Amino acid sequence: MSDFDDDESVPQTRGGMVSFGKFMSINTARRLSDYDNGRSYAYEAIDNRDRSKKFIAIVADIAQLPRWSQIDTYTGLADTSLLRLVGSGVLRWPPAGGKQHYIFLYQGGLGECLVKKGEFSKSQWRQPDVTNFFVVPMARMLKEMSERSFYHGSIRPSNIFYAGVDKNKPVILGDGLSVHANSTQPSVFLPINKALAEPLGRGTGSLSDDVYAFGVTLAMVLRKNDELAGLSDEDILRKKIETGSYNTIVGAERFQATFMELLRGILHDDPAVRWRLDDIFSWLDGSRVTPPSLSRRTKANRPLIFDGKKYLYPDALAADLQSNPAEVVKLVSNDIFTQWIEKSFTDKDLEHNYHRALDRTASIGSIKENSDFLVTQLTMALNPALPVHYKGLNFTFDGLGGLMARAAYEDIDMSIFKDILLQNIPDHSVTLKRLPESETLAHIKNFDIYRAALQQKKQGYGIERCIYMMCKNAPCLSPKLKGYFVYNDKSALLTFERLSKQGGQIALFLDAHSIAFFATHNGRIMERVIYDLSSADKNKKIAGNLRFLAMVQNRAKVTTCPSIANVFLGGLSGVYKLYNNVNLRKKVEEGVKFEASKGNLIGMSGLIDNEKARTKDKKAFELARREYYLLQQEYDQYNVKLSNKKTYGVVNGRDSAALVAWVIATAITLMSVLSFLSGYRIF
Amino acid sequence: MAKKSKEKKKKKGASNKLGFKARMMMVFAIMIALIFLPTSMLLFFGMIPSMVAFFVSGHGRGARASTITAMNMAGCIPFVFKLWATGNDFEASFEIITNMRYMSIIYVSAAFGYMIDWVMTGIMSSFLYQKGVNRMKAIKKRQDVLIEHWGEGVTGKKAQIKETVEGED
Repeated sequence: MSDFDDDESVPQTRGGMVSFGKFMSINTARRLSDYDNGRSYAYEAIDNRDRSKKFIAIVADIAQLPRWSQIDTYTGLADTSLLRLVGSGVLRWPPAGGKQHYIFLYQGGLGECLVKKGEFSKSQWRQPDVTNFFVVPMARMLKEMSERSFYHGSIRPSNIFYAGVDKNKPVILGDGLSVHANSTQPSVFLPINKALAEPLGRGTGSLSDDVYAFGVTLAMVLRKNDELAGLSDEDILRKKIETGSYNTIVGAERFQATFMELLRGILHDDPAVRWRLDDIFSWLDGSRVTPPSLSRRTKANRPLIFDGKKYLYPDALAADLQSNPAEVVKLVSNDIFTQWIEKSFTDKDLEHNYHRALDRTASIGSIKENSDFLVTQLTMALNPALPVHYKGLNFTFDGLGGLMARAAYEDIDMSIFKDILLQNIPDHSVTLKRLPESETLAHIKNFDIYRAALQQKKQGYGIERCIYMMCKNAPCLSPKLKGYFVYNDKSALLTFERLSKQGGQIALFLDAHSIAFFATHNGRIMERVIYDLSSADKNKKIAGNLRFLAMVQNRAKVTTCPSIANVFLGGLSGVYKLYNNVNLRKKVEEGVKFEASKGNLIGMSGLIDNEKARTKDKKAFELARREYYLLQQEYDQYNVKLSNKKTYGVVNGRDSAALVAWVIATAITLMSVLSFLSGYRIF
Repeated sequence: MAKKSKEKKKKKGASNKLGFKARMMMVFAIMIALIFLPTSMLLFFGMIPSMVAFFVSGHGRGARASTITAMNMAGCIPFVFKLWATGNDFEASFEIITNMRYMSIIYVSAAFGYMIDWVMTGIMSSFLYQKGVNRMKAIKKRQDVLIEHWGEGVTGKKAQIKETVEGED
């Protein structure tokens, strides 16, 4: 939890200034659009203690899936060419009507961006300067980031800054945290597979993607002509698919031969062949590194006519298959597709992948009824580099989580994602990639874990759990928390406190989303309450909610939560019944009321969840129940016996009479014997 | 079936037949009675109320017959000593038996036994009934205390209802 997180109501703006943390103010009237990252907008921020210090505040909405989970990693990066993060946290953003946004506060004074869109580099660097002030710091940054498993995902000329024409200083790489990795990258800066995917479906980022973006950026810094002028993003992509990225980006430009080598290495479309950091450093050292040869595309000896167009290249056809699934079904049903694959190519892998795609489709049903699945499988078979296309969704195998988070945020039906996972589509995609086997196995293992979570019926599992497992940067997307950026337990507590203050809350704060979120991010705490939260008994659920929030209050060191305490107070009447002893129950109730008046959830929970007292109470109650039962049995017996007053006690009475009679008889006999012996005669 | 009925008959016969010891006792008693015939005669006529009581009282009412027998015996004993003091012969025995006053004393003592039984039974049953009523009150009071301390749950009724409902489901 950051020191900057707000816990008050919507901050007041004074002259456009919004307080952020204790000492910072953000000027909502002063936009710094040069530092925007997609729809995460930049504003000027100042330090109230020293107003000459300028900062950049980048304001991110939930929809951008800001990378809050990687803040610690980012702040641990020491490279001076990285934009320094001063602080971060959640703020109720007045321009958005008080809706909570995540704020990234960066050190200001960055200078200008390297290349503005549609323009050429203004740096006027000579080619050695390009190496010293751009290539070297970028390579160093990429190395450090990859060592900490952080991938920037926003490397482009408009997000790289330099001090000015006259100041020869290394570049500074701009914000990469305020948006989902690669989601704001124009398609030219993305490898083909990522560019074809939806912005939030481009995965978690990778070093290979960053190296590629660096290559495109380098080409733009060096270029003197705009090879791509007048081409739309779609045209650029088409050209990349048909001629390869290097040919598309570099085209007819003639750079220094050494730069051509570097660009050929880092712009290679196959991530397995693309230059790694070691190759870049070898190139910087002047060692001769052979650039990889451009891969040859598989070409058919006769075309296939699909949707009115002739196709000779299966990879190009793969990109267009989704435009007409009905014709795909027709071509497959008439065996035209199969004959084209079998007779027009000599590529055995292609043929094998094609038949496997048909088999997989047949295994789930008829081709006609599963045309979407068929198109997905054929796309993967014909061009494994492409992202997955399924029912209008385009995503990389690691990009499904982002799309799921967006769908949950926008309240869209999630059934399509369940289908994708249950039909093993991401697994099929990853097995066709040319990844190292260990990496492939690790991905497939993760998909198995997600599927297992999806199929579990218990609380904390299901599709909600999959969202948070597959998209680590998704904040809690509970409908109850709409408009709030809840990303950890403390922010949840403060949000619940605010909502409780507004009224209309019930003691069941945690729903399926929040339970799944905290089970993913705070598993240890959630484990201790999941049993109660899963119970069908409402009182146990309420007790579980209270215990969870009490643990959070304790962890987050929030001294008082009076509004939450009041909500619980209204809902605990049934919970007290967990204690059987009436006097103890009253005592607990009074204690809870007292703790609630102080807003002390820990105290309230402690009284209700006193395990020792509960066990003692339970044992004593069992004894009391047994005593009651035995007494009732005795009472029933008396009731039956006493129902006939005439016969009750007669046997005992007769026995007593006999005893008395025998005592009298014995006495008379003794007297008679004595009188007989003494000679005295009674009669 | 035939085997079963045979077995039953066997069992019935065995229970009706006296054992060896009992037979010997009976023979011994008859011999004693024959030796002390005047006394036996007096006791036979004197103990008629006891014999009637034994025959009249049904199963489980042996206590009343015992009471009557005890008092009947107490009435007979002085006259047995009187018989023995006056020669212990048939004449003396017959004199006592035919003496209305003596026989009245013997029979009144037996009646007194019956009275003891009636009075004692009444007193004891009233006492025990009251004791039972008091115990029931004490049980109710204790149960109320338990309910007051533990709530209705202690009666087990809720649990029973729950179990019944679950059983029906």
